[in-house]
Amino acid sequence: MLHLHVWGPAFGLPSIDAECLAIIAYLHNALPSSEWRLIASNDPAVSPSNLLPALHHEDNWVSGFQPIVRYLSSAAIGKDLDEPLSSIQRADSVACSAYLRAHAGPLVDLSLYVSAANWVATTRPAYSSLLSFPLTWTVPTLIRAEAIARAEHLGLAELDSDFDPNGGLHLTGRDALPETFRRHIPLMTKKTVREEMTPEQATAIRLFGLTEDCLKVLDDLMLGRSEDGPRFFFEDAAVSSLDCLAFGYLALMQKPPVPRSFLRDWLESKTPGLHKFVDSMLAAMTARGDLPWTDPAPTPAVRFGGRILDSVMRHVPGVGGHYAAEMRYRAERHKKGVDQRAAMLIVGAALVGLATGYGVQYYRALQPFGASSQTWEPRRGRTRLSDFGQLGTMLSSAMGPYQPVPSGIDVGGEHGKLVEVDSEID
Amino acid sequence: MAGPPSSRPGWFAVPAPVRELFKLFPLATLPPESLPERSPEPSSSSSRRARPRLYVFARTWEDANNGRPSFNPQCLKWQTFLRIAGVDVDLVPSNNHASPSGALPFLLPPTTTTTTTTTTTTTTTPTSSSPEKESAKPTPASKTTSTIPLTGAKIHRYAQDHATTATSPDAPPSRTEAYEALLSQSLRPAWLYALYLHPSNTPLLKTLYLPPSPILHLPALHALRDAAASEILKTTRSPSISPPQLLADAADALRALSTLLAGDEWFFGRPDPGLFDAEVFAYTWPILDQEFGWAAAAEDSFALAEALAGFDNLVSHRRRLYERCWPEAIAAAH
Repeated sequence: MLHLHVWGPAFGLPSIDAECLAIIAYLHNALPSSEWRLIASNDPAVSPSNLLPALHHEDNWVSGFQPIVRYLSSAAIGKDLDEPLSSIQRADSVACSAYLRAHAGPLVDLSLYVSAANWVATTRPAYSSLLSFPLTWTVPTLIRAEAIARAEHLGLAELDSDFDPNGGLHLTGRDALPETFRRHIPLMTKKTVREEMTPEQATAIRLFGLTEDCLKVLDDLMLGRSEDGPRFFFEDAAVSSLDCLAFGYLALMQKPPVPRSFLRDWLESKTPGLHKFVDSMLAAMTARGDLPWTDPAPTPAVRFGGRILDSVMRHVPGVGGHYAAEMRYRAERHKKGVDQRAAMLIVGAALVGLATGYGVQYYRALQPFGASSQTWEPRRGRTRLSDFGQLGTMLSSAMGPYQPVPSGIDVGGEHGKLVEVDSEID
Repeated sequence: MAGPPSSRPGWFAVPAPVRELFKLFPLATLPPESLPERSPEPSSSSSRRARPRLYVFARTWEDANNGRPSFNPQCLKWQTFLRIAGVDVDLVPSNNHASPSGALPFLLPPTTTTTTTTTTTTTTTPTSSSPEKESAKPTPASKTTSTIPLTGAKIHRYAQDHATTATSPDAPPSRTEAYEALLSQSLRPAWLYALYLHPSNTPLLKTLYLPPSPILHLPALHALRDAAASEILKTTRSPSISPPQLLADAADALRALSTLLAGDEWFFGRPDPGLFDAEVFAYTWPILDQEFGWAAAAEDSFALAEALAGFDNLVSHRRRLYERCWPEAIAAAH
């Protein structure tokens, strides 16, 4: 029995992640539903390599689309969808897969994650419905940060309207006023055309250039152009592994109901072949029957708490990056538990924390700069008479305890107190 | 305020004793400092300047002067393509800081000198190159049109414009793009891992990219490794680096390339090599180069070279392109 762990369904698709979608399509076409289970675990940490999709088969964990396909064909499980391909077609398939990952992947990242409007309206709510409560605050933002880093080389950071190079502390004009005052001031300046545009409109030329480059190549590479079921290689609507991977990326371009739908518009108007390809793949999947969804095993509280702590740690400014690097180091070397390096790190962090705490305490106990320290000693139990040498001491012991009259203003009789009162004098 | 000239000296006149003091020490004019060794020479050997300069990573000046293949795949790709097109260039060993785009290689076209009476002409230095080159002694009367350093696709256009041998017609663009993505997506991460992250190749990395100073050594090594690791992670879209996975991907890519080449002489069945051939050669040449300095195969668990050596047609493609582009090296070997 195969257990496939994936990110859960969203946008009317079986998964929110492109590679998960692809491998679901692959398994659904290669195996009968009785031979595998689909689990929306939504937690990459289920697999040792910390990546979804992950296939669990007889104590073997395999993660990622290509490795799973490789594993299935080497273990001869199910039907090898690439069996009928000629060797040159296989080479083309490998090259196209690389092309999809290199070019279609960043486009999906741009549309679903980088674009702030799409993220707020579509992707983040989708993740919120997949994850349970405290994780909805921490995990989606981490996923988004990764996607932004992956799409960074395209130079379209301005799609994220939170990113404002001129922003920061200096508010000018109307923005500097509180909201309640702003209503009473007549609007004097008109917005320029540039300010009226959404980030997607402002960068439309570059955005469409990227989209065109990528989708046109894919459209060219699609050879099986039958009317009802276009596929990359086959005329008879049979599915290859490349079809599955392309479906993963193209479906995420086409299906999500994003407000800034530059990818979907392009697919519909310019490359109807690809548009029809997604629809026919989806129709073929539903025609093959239901997906074998299985409820994930309930997460133990300790593990859940660990995941929350982990995602919070990654958010801590300054420390988060080091923490992520250290966790990656441990994952790559399959380290578990506390070894020497981890112990050293923990002890080091504790020592640094202690030293910092002590330093802060010491600093706060310091005199203000430049002030010399002065000491007053209260006279308790001694009277004024004792100031006058030996005779004074004799007198004081003779006269008994003597209470000197407190100097200053005597406010309220014997038990009067000086009370400081804050008052305004107008 | 200028009043009538009077016997009193003005406010800004130097007092007489100070003037006397300065007369005791005459200001000496020192002879000009000689230029640094590496600066472009404004010499009389005009044959050298007539050629464009390609700034690449190279081990030594000797290697560069002999035009030996660069050790950096990006540099080697353009070096090979320029040789395929028959454009003669002078190689200049350099580093990323010298490049206007922040990455090597870049090509400096020859100065088209509208010769006036002077015999000496300057080689224009790129505006963003190192300041010591800026301080090259200007020769007064020569008019040189400023040349702009070219990078990336502009080198491609330059090579096609100045090609002496006919470059073959373009391959089918969509398939070429797909296979180029294969190189950058599957082969490059494996290359990066083998050179930058694989522990047994650290001595090689030191000789190639790291400064000789031991103080700069460790931070530079860390910076290089971090950059390579983040590049691999970004490309493979995975949260951690798995060497067996990288190797399997690279082997798949090589198998696909080998199938694509089949029995042809050059890729896509063209009569002459093109940019894609140069791009493949840029990886296959250093991976199989015996003198490159890779760790010995016994201790090298990341067997990229063995994976490549298994594909005979790629190996012979590599040899064929080398013989075509470096005929003088072949002749010297015999």
